[in-house]
Amino acid sequence: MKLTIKLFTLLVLIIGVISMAFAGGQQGQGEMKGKLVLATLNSSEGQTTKQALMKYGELNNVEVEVVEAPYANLFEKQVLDLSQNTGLYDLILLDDPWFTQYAENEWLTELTPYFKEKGESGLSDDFIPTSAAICHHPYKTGKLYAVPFFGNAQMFFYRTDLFTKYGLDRAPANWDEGMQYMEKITNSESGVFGYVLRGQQGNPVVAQFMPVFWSFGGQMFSVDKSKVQIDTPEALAALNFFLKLKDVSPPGAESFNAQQLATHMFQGTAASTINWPAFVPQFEDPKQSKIVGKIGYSKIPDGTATGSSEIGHWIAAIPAGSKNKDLAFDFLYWATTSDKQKEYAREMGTPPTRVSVFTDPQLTKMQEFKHYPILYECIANSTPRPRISNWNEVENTFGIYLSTAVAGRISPKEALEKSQADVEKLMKQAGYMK
Amino acid sequence: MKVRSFFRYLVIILITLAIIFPVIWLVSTSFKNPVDIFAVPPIFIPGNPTTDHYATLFFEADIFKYILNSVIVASITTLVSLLAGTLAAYSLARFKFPLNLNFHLSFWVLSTRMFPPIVTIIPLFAMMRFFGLVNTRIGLILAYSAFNLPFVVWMMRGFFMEIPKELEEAAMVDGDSRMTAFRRIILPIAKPGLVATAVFTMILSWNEFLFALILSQTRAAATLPIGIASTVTQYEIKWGQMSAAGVIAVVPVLVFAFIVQRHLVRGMSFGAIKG
Amino acid sequence: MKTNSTRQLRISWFEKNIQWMLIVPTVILLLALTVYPLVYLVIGMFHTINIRTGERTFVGLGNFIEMVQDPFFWNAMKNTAIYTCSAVAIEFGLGLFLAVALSRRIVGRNIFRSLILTPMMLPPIVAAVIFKIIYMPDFGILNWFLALFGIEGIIWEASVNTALISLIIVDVWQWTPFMFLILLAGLQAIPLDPYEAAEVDGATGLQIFRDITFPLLKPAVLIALLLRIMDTFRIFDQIFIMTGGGPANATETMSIYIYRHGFRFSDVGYATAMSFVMLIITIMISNIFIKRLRTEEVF
Repeated sequence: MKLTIKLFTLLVLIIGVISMAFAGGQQGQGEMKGKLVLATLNSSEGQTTKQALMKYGELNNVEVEVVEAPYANLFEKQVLDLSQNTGLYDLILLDDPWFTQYAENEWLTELTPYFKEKGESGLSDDFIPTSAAICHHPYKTGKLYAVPFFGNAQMFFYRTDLFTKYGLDRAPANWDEGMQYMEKITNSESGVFGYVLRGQQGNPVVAQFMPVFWSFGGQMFSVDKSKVQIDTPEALAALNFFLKLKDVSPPGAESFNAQQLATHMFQGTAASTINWPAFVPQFEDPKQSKIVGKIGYSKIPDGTATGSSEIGHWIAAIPAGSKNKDLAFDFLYWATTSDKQKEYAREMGTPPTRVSVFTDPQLTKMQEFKHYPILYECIANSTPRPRISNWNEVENTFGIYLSTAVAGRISPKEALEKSQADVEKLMKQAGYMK
Repeated sequence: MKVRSFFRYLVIILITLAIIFPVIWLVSTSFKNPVDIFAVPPIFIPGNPTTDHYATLFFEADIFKYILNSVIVASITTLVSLLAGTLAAYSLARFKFPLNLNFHLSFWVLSTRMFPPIVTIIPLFAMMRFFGLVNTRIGLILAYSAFNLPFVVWMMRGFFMEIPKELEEAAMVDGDSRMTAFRRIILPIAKPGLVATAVFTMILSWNEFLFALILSQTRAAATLPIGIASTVTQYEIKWGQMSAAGVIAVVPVLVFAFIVQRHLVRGMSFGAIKG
Repeated sequence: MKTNSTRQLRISWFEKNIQWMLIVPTVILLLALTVYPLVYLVIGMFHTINIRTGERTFVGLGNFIEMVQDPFFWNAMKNTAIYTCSAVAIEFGLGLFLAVALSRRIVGRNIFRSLILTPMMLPPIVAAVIFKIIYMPDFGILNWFLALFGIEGIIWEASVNTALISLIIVDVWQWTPFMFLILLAGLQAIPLDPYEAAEVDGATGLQIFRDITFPLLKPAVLIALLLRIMDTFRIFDQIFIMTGGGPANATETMSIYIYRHGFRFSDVGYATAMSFVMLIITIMISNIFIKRLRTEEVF
């Protein structure tokens, strides 16, 4: 008898828990015009797109679902959906280096026809030219497959107080000048270094190296991508300078990623670095930073050529397998107007991609946007990562050799020679070179 | 003799301290302001502690949903795997199958756990999508049961093989059916094994990350590890929030384990046979 | 006695085939979820997928030939071997000591047992980040502690020399409780009679351990080792978060390398080929353990 009661209760409990399992994920259906699913990043940018979509859904009676994922996994999720053509997502927010692979594989919907329906020929002229260019495949001149959402380009961050202390009361104009002061700071201030280098192999070190590389006149590939230009005098000059930057960086730089850069800057133990604008608000937050009010921003210093940032926009596109393209495009159009971008900037602090927003007098008056003119300049003069669909692999290979050189385990010349050879192999495999 | 026990006790204390220190550091970090997390010299007890991280998790990051999903998925998975696995283990331990199937079946069961997970993701995703199981708790439960079953089968098989056949045979001679003998006699003896296996299955399902990442898309099915991973953004790791989420993830499991480890007692005396 | 004769028949059919009935749920569940991945693996490893066009071409053994000549593949193999052997060996030794020490009646035994289990409960991602904080060269507490003893300058997972060791430490920290728990459960299941007999005979502690405890513990030991080796071999989460395979590939294990090719480069053919190799190696290693376990079997 007792056993039966026990078993019965157990059974009821089990049924209860199981039915809860089935009960997940049902929303009231109601009179909805349609449904949109967005795959986006789990950062402040992602939050912005999420809220925008939810607002759009409310205004237009559309059901929305937002899938958020950390950076690396967002890429995987998108590739999984796009390559298997499951139509799971109607909208995706992607990092622009992924764009070439998606476009070449014909995973994205061409947007020009949708613009034409609205009576426009394509992206508005208000978008910064370099921002718009990365949304076309081939670069700048080809068909339009995405809309630029968030304007990220690297900036040079530096401690105004430290540089002024040693004699420079503006940003260094070129690398030589910069190195002069970095060395002074490193040698004179105990526990403080002139620079903090991002040396972790793969994307981190390459993202750090490219601006330096470009400012020494280097270009990774010839314009038609038929030649690899890594083992060149310009690259060697750049890499040698890069190693000098390591010398004035805290120990362990060969493994640093964005987190360590931030920590050293916030704790005040590094005087300058190259990094993305996402950190700007945190520098001014006393809960996170020991150096509130002491940070300045500038464009990348010049070398033998003009300094150029790496552009890293977050752009939005519509997968080819989506079943709700009209609705998706309507959202994209609505969400990327000048007013909307101003709203995002004010409420979430995310950077825009339109000239009108960067030059808006209301915004640039505010303390938290004082870096906008610099950011705009950086974007306007930025260089995109080489537009090849196997960029991930190339970056990975190049990043391994760069990191090894930073760690001092091979000479710069050897690193460049080996990179040249391996990248050539990869380019041949992908069919870019014969 | 006493000196040796004293030293042994000391060593145990030192090892335990070393083991729990990172956990203590985790808790401490969860109450620190970001600027204090990397302060030098290290701050052990935060001077002005903050509950911001916990507040953000509970009120903005919607962590209740993650916790709910984790609880449901982990408990049902443990139930299902333990049920199916223990029965299968008993069968493989006690009966002789033809064609050497004892060995082959056991081995096949184990081999399903040998696949590098990276590669099973793509076909599994496609399969789940086909059956509409992506982003559902059921999908997760099925996937988790599949990779916990080999573990349960092997653990319990080992424990069952340690128990002499004579015990059930004695009971069956007295009129019990095999399953009754199993329930009345074998299970109580195998309790330590069942408990250990249940603990592991719970923990594995509670902490699993890769499959949850691929098979869940929104908070309808996302589990705690996904919630924790969302503190790792592209530019930085929100150390404080991550630690708070880690603490939240650990507390239920700790409570569960503390309650349950008391049952790891010696099994019944084996005197029953000799008598 | 049952009254209904059909029910009797049904029950006895169930009883007769009980050995099959009991394994059916497990077999069905496993088959359903592993058949397709297996097929996918077997087909995928003989093909290569062009990242630009997405088309799949049959290359026969091409992937395997490329693998043999790939220095990064061998590097990943080496790292995986070192990581697995070191981690499992240390976890075993430590776990055994703790299990034996805490199976005696000592003060606060329950507390120790619960505390020791805690690392295993953390999601690997949290363990990885906590150690990242602890390992930080200039700001982390470990180096601060070591500096008190005059030991300086170790940069843990940032240095090519110490990276792998740093990760092994994290693994040992997290999974020794696993060994501990299995061995403890195994110890608890050993009957008391042999001990009583040995005490009557006047055997020493070490002799008791060697001749009674350890042999009776063997099945638990073998299972613990087998499961741990299988899991450590495939390790991914912690390494991915802590070092991503760096610096300079010093911590790139097979799983990380496969992930890179499968997801970052979308070179699924090569990734599945390498997974196949991993599978074969795991099968061979586990065979050794399983054979040992078989000699302990009832039949």
